[in-house]
Amino acid sequence: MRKLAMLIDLRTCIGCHACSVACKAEFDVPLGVFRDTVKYVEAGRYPQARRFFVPVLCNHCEDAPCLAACPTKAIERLPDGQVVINKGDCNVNRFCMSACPYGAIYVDPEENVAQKCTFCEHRTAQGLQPACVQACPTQCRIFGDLDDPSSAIARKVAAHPTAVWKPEAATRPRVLYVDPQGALGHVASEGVQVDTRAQFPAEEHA
Amino acid sequence: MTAPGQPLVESPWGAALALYFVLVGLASGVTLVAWLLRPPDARAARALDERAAWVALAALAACGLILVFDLGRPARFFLVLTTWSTASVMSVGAKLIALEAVLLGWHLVELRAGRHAEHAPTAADVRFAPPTLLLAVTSATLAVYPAVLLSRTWLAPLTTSPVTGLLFVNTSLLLGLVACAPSLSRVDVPAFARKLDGALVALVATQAALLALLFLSLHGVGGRAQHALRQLSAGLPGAAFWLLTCGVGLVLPLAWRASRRLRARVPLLPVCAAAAGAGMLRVLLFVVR
Repeated sequence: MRKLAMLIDLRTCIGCHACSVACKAEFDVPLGVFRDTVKYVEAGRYPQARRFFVPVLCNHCEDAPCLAACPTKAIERLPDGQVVINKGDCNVNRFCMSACPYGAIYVDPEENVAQKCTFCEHRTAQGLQPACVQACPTQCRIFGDLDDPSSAIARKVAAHPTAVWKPEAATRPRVLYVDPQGALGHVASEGVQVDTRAQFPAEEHA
Repeated sequence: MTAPGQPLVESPWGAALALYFVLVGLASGVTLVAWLLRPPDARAARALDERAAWVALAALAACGLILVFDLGRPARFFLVLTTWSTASVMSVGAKLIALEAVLLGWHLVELRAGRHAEHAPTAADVRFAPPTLLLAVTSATLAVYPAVLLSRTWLAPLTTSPVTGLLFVNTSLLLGLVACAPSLSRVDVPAFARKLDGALVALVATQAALLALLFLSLHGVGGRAQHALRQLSAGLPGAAFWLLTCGVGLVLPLAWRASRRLRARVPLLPVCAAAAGAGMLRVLLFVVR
């Protein structure tokens, strides 16, 4: 059994959203809900203002609160560690959504079941990389077996200090970040889902 | 951007679940109060038991309906009852509610058959008979269940305080007391009336003490819990908390009780006010974040 995980290098993420788009296309994710997205955060004041791009997704936690929460056992952990939702057993009680500190789970408005990132289990089972990893133009995402010392992810984890999103949640995420600038702290109160209720200024009529 | 500290834009659980938390408190509280405040007269005790059982069953039935209609896929509601997941608080809670309903149904059958009156003449015999005791234990567990459930979510940061478990039990008892009050007030035994009065004062005073402890336990801890505590004290939630939970729920019952003239005019008002405050507190513990 492998210990599949993902490492995201925030030094090289350019915020292009290729990963979010690839994920949307791969799973036909409806509008308004997200399995993977990129947070744009700004910190500091001029002339020390800085901008960070932080890709976020389900962390497939070792101590997954959603897995413990689900009363119908619709959420399970696969042998390689991915946490997935079985549509058939989900009755949309939304306890998993209430338990997940990352906001990674949403109710699919078309299928009426809870859904989230699966680490592209259908692709990785065939030896492919997840859609978001394959789409990334800067290769800031690395996916693989943490228990294999020769894997790219294991070598990078060994070579760089890594951080996790919301460490205070104590969920032991399997999504690690190389984050020397502390960008994760700026999204500590965010979630994967995006507030799509855009507020536009009133138009002035001539 | 989502609300500060909130991983989702909107809460997955809405007003229906707030009502559910109040009703489950009523169901557990009414059986506990009937068990604890057993009248000395067998006939009055039986009438109280029947009333409490019916009220609890009705509340649990309403809880079930709320849960079924709140689900995105009601046809799969049965999975919550038939799937055994000891790690899931919701799964355990569903079984508890089902067990409570079964025990209440059994209790009503026994009452109708008159077994209690014939074979258990003393209050202690009835109260500590195994099935009755099991019903009391199940009710007590159900009284704490909402606190355990909410503490496993990000929805209710106030439930990170250990005091909220006690608050849920106390509010259950206050809700149960108002449901039992009509039967209890008809017991024409002065000593029992004083006992009932004392129970109300004790519960209201305990509520006040627990609320003070809640503030003490969360003050200065930082993070979402302290933010929720500030929310509880100000704005619309603050108005509901100070006016309803504290004013109506705590001050009014004690002030009414202190006035002999007012007490004689509307004797059930203090207990109704206390229950209203208790119900509002349960809602606030769920919605404030």
